[in-house]
Amino acid sequence: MKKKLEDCLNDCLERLAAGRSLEECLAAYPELAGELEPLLRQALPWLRGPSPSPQFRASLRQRLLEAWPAPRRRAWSVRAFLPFRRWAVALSLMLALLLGGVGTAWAASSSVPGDLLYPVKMASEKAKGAMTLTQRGKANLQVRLAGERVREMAALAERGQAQNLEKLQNRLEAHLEKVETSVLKEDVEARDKLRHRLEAEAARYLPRFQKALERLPAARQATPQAHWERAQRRFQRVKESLTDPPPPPPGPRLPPRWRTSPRGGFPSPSPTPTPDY
Amino acid sequence: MSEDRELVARAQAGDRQAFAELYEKYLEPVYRYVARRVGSREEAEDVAGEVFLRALKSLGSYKWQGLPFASWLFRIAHNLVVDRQRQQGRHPVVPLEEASEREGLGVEEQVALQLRLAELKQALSRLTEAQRQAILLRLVAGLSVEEAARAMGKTPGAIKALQHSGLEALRRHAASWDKP
Repeated sequence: MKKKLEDCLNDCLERLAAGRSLEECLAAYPELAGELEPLLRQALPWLRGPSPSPQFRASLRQRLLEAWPAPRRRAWSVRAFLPFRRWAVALSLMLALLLGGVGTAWAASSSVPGDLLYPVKMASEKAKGAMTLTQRGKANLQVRLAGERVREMAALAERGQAQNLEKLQNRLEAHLEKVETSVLKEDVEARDKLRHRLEAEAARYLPRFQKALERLPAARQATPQAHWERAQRRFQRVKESLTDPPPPPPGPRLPPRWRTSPRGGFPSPSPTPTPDY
Repeated sequence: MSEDRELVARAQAGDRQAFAELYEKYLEPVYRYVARRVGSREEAEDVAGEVFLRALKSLGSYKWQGLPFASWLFRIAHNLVVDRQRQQGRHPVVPLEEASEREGLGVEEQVALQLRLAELKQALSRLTEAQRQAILLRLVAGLSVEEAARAMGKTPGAIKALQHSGLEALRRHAASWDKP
């Protein structure tokens, strides 16, 4: 009997929630109406609860959009193996050594942030940097690594993963900074070769990144697009720094503080002169 | 249910629109559930916002196995409410200031509503935690018996029994309230 009352009460609650009247619900169970009615009257105020304000609804939606993207599920990700990450890296390195490094290094070379073998790739790049002794070799390596970072950014954009783009952008800029400040700039021939390499890397990977962007839905293009533009500007800036400056225009020489910067930007003020005492 | 499953899978694969659909579907029930348990509209908005931000953060690790999305979401909401009440060292309450419930009412009706809400607040605090959960999930949040059962880790029969005993307790409390 009690069981039946619970079932009938539940049925009536669902009818009330669906917008039926109390009388309709009671009419469905006339033999239990006396017991059901006081219980259903208690339920009525609860069925009409407070609603979120439109302002709150909109602002929370905005916060969620800003917090997007959600961490994606990946079958093979570093995150999934986080407790074992060091072991995985150590094991991968040992395997690389044992197997002559060829297989693992090859597999790691195409990895991107978030992949299990990416730390192996990073370690391998550091080792290459340490083993490169000449300035020319170091500068060439930085150019190649800059291209590699753009390739990784393109790969992440193709996968629709924007969360590691900022990190890659920073690494790209660090590589380009090293190229820009390279002492090879003093050697005209070496500088020209470096510029050609840089142009080749940019021509190889920036269009690929752009194509990946074009394939993304419009709503998800903004962040990768901004990174693509930043990368392109940085490549252009370094390329200009490796190019001969145009000859100075004829005419009277301006005092140093009014000379324009070689990149055509605003004049950079000369340091404040220290007074002679 | 299968619609939720598909939306969750799409959101996990990076589809922002799918998560937006889940948000639109569950914001109101989650908000109502939270609002009946915290002290003010501001707190309800804080907690409801935190529920969805946490859900977004943990979406990648969520697995459907045995726990539907709605139940998972209400578990987050429940845990956040309990944490907040523990921090503030107070018992569950029902908010009284609900502008949406007072719109279009005259002064007398507003006073009556305030009294009724005060009565509900007191009544809810008299229920056991399980009864309170069952009433909030079923009546306020609008979960089905099966969803509420999964969210609470009980059988559907137990949920029906809890909502019955909860409403019975509310009725007894109302009867004592009506006595001079």
